[in-house]
Amino acid sequence: MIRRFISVVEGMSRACGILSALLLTFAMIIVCQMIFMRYIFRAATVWQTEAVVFSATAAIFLGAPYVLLRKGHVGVDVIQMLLAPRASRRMEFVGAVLGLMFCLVMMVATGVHLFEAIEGGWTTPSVAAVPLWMPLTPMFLGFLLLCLQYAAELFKLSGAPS
Amino acid sequence: MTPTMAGITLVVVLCVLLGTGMPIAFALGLAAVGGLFLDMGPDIIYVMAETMFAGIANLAYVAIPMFVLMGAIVAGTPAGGDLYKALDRWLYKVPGGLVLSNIGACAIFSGMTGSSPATCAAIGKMGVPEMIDRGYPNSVATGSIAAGGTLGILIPPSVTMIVYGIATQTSIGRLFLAGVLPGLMLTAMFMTWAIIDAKRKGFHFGAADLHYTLRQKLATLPRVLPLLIIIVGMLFVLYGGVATPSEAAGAGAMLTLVAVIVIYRLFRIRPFVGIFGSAMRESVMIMMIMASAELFSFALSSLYITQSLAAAIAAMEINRWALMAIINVFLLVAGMFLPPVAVIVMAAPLLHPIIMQAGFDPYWFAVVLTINMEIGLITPPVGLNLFVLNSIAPQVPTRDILMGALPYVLVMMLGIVLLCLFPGIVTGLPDLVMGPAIH
Repeated sequence: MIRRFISVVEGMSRACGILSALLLTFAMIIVCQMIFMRYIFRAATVWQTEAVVFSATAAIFLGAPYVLLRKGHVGVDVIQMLLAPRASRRMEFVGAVLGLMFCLVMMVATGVHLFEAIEGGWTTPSVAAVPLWMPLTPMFLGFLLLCLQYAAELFKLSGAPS
Repeated sequence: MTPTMAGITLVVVLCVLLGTGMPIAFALGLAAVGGLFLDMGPDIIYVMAETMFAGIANLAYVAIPMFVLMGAIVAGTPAGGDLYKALDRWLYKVPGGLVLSNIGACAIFSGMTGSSPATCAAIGKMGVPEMIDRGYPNSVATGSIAAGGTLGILIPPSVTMIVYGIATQTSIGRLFLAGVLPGLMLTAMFMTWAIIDAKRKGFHFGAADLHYTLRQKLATLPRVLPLLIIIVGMLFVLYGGVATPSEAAGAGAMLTLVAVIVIYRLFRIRPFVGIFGSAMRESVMIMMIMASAELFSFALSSLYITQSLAAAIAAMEINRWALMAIINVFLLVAGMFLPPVAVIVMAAPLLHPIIMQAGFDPYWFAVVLTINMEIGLITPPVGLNLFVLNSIAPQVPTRDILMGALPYVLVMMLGIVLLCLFPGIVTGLPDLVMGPAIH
């Protein structure tokens, strides 16, 4: 059961990692299209700026669980390195619990913010008036998946088969 | 709780959280949650998401993943190796030549990416094994790359300059220009030290057995020149008023992608999966730290810690250079424990009005701040470049890497002193290209 949970969560994190890389690629293409529209065709760019900003922001939050899976978030691991393996593992466990706490708080905070944006019909102040739930949803999903990924990391650290 | 007590508590909590080894981004965020809870109670739930989101949802910040991607494309394709080979062929006869070509390659690569760890990884992957093969001591091989890699955040484009520009509402284009001459100066100083060190220790490194003809030297240029043209073109559109830093970064990444596909005939998707993956991982790591640092900065401000600290510094009636020395020590210590972007997001808005009031140029200060951050990148406990070299050359003990990088720390400190004595090194080029700054 736990093994299945870990493999499903890791699969979702990888899928979000791929999506994140695709969103960054999309942002790069739209930036180039924006330059062409503005400087070569002298045309107005209405939706491009927000499309670029929101896809890059979505890429960051959606990519965070995959980066956690790959241990790519930098930390100060000097103390862990100085400890004996058993104590180091305990310290890593404590660090993961604290990380999970932050992600849980942020998941709730982002969920509340997203709910308010949907209820209030909030939009961006630009001409494009993009509904705010659109850029906030990836942030919420990112923190939700970070919580699940941290739970998977904790299972792995506690010796559950992965 | 007084702002002083709140500040001390917050810093102690942050240090404890960092000490557990948890990701810096989440440690900053959790400490901020605690601080904000003290001030606002459960109502913090209504401001946290907005603060964190607004911290990175900015068009100018899109330049960061784009410049990182540009660097990853060069590093992940044969382009990086060709750049390295070209410099080696032109510089191999100079004493300690390979160290010089590595530092030079780092400086050129810095013009393609805004990130120091990316520069370090790109050049280190080829440079470290090559130097060790040619008999360079481990400490010289790794130390020079660790230090050369730090140029990534000084020579434009630069991730830290983008963050500083947004945090202090100064011109990013001007900040990039301000970094050019100090970047070249540090490159020259690193190279000078490498030559002195090589002569002092009587290194020969087997370069006498090597010989490259002029034809062989020229043969390297066709593959390297397009990349150099992209750098120059990017700087041209940036300063010609054609594009913003984000647009220049996006176009630079796209052009680099097209250039490597055409030059190396990389018409398959597979090589690019790893490239886009590594760019994504580094961008996520940097931007998550920035988003959390924004939250931490918001907590400091909500608890009046920022305001009290600024007032206390302003009330100190000391010589402005003594003030600058104190700020430098603070930045050095902060840079040792936190990555550059986190320090800048939190410290730049606080220090900017203070240094302006003391009569310092904000662009000059940005460069001094960046060199301080560069020192943090090669000193423990959070020397990102040291981690990168550890993963590239796991057989080299960390102690050797540290010992090799140490002289360069002193060179950078000397660099800061030179910039204090001759601020024109920073302000000269921006003034010449863009006219005097309006503060």
